[in-house]
Formats: sequence, structure tokens, C-alpha cells
Amino acid sequence: MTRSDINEVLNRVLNDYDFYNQLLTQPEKALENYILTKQEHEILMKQDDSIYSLLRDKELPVTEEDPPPTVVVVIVVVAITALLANLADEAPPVSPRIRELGEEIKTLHGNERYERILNMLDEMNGKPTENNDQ
Amino acid sequence: MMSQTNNNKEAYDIYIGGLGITPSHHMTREVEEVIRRSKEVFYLSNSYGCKEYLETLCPKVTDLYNLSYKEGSERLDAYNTMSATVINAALNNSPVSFVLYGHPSVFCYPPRQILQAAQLLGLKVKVLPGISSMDCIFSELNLDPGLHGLQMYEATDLLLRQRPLQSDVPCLIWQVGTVESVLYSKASNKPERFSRILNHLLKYYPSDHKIGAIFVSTYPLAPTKKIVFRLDEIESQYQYLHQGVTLYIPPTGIRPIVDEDLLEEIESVVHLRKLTNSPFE
Repeated sequence: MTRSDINEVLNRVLNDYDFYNQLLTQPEKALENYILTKQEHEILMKQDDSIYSLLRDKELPVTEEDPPPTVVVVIVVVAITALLANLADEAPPVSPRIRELGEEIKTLHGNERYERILNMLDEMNGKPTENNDQ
Repeated sequence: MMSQTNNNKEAYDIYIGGLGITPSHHMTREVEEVIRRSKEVFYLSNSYGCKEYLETLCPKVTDLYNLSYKEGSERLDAYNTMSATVINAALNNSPVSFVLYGHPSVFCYPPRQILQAAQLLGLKVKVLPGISSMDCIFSELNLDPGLHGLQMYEATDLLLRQRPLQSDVPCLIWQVGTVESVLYSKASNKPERFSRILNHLLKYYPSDHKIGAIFVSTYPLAPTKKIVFRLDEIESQYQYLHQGVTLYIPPTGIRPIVDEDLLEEIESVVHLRKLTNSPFE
């Protein structure tokens, strides 16, 4: 298998703005000292959507022209979705159960504390936990 | 680099910061600094090279994405896992940082959870802004909300509440690719996913109105992807409308000025004097 410097090039784009600028303006010169496959070189020269195929994390925008049905689109979406809208802008009043869990968490450690934090978050989300004796 | 002192006490237990859309290019100096000061950094971003970059700033870097998301599970469970992990770490050994793609207060629930829980646990939290997709879209579309305003909604919320739209105001619809479900899934969409939102939009826009879908680039060499299509073609664009895409609906026209008296007064020095202590003669 031929050695390729593609990861080094991709990372240098992120961390060296002069190199990034040179890739945009003089791509042949910017890449002259790197060992790349023909395909990698072509993609870096084109500077179009095909660059995503080189990125490890598969951030691939799916397009009509390029519709790979099995492609995994992994974009972080950590949304306040509509069904969470009951968790409105104004935080709801803190219930005695939540306060109790808060005090308990301060005294715990390790996995037990982690589980209680999850319980508290569930209570805050309006999902009473099984430990809820209110 | 901010000035160094010998004071080892940190003002905050948890820093929540935005990484921007291309972390190494968008991260603010302030976010970078708090990451350097943290014992551990938790991150949520799939941008290429993100972890490697964070590792140059902090020796302990933990990816919350793989830890939290499971196919078909409720997103809320994932958010709880993220928040509990960060809170637990801060109780163990603060300060810690939780850094996320974009802006931490924009379309992002775990920071809100952490802020609320931290109050009860005596943890001090600081939220630091980041460049959001919205900021990138303003640049990419040359969209200035100062000109004709801006309306924007989360796609599912738009439908649930049947929110009315103003056709003369530019409109952004977020998370159109995940519309109608709060369950986490990596599966590709079907055309049917966009039928209900099409029907809603047709109440306010003509079927041949040209709209855009934009996917902001997450890597410097990659171009931002923009496509334009007729509103009534939205279902046929299903393969492009993935979860990272935002819909842009340009206005159908410009709302005419109604208050002609005010229009005259806004350039009047006399009027300004009535409103201020202006020294203009």
C-alpha cells in the first residue's frame, strides 16, 4: 500500500492559514512536497464537494447528482425540538423532589452520583423517575 | 494568550463554549483559553480534525457524540447522558469545558439543562458564544436581517403550532431534514417526509416560489452547498434535505412603507432633537 500524506494535508489546512491560502491560490505548489494518490490529488485540486470523501468523519451532504443511498450523514443536531417545547424559555419552578435529588447528589460519588444526576435531569424534563415518592 | 497570574482558583466550574462550524478557524480566543484552563474537555462536533485540535489545547478530550446517541432512541436520552457526564465530571474535578458545534445557546438543549442543574448543585457555569450556522448563512447568502427582518423556525415546531409566516420577510427553517420526529436516526429521508411542511408553506407562498436549501461547509476547502428549487419540488429534493440542511425562503415581495410621516421625520434634525439631546443645529 502506497504511503499517503493526505491526513497531514487535511490537518494542515485546519491549523496553518498560510498553507490553506496557498492551496486556494497555488494548489500545485502547495502540494508539491506531499505524497498523495492520484485521486486525492485531483480532489484537492478541484476543491469541490468531493473533498468530503476524504474526510474521515463522513460529513457528506447528499445531493441529487451524487446520491449514495447508504451514505451516513452525521451532522450533530442537538436541537431544542418542538416536543421539548414544554421545557420553555422560563425554567419551571424547581420541585421539592428535584431539590432533594440535588442535595443527595452532593453527598454521592461515582456511578451512584451519575445515576442520580440522570434522575434529576429526568425530573427536570417532566419525566418522574421510579425513585419519585412524591 | 490571556495574561497569566498565580491565582489557581477558577471562576467557573463548567465552561460551555461554541466551536463554530469549522472549529479550528471559528473558535474564539476566549473559548480556546478556557479549554486550555480545563482539566477535561467534552466535545460535540463531527468536524474533521476537531478532536486532534482540542487535544493540542487540553490533555483529556472526550467525545460525547458516540457516548450519547443510539439509533432510534429519544434525543432527550442523549441530551441527558451528555449533561450528566459533564456535571459529574465538574463535581469530580473542575473546571471542565463542554464545547459544541456552532453556538451553545442556539438549537441546543444540554447547555440549558446543565445551567439549570448547576444552580441546584452549587456549580458555577459560564456560557461563551460561538459562530452559529445562522452567522455562516448570513455570509453565504449575503442576508442582512436589518433590511427586511428575518423569521426563523424549527421545522417540527412550525408544523406543530401551525405558525403563520409572513411572505414579505426572509425565512429560515431549521432542521428541515429531521422534521416530524424527535427520534434520533441516521437513516436517509423519503419524499413523504416533506409533504406536510410543503402543505403548510403553500398556505403562504406560491407553489412556483424559488426557495433554497443550504448546507454550510464544515471544512475550509469544502464549498458550502446551496441548491435552489421551486417550493412544490421540495419532496423531490429529499436526498439533499439531510439533517444538516437549512431551508431559506426569500420574500415574495417587499412590504410597502405605511407610515409616510415617519419616513419624512427619520432624516429630520428637528425630529432628532425631539428624541435626543442632540447638539445638531
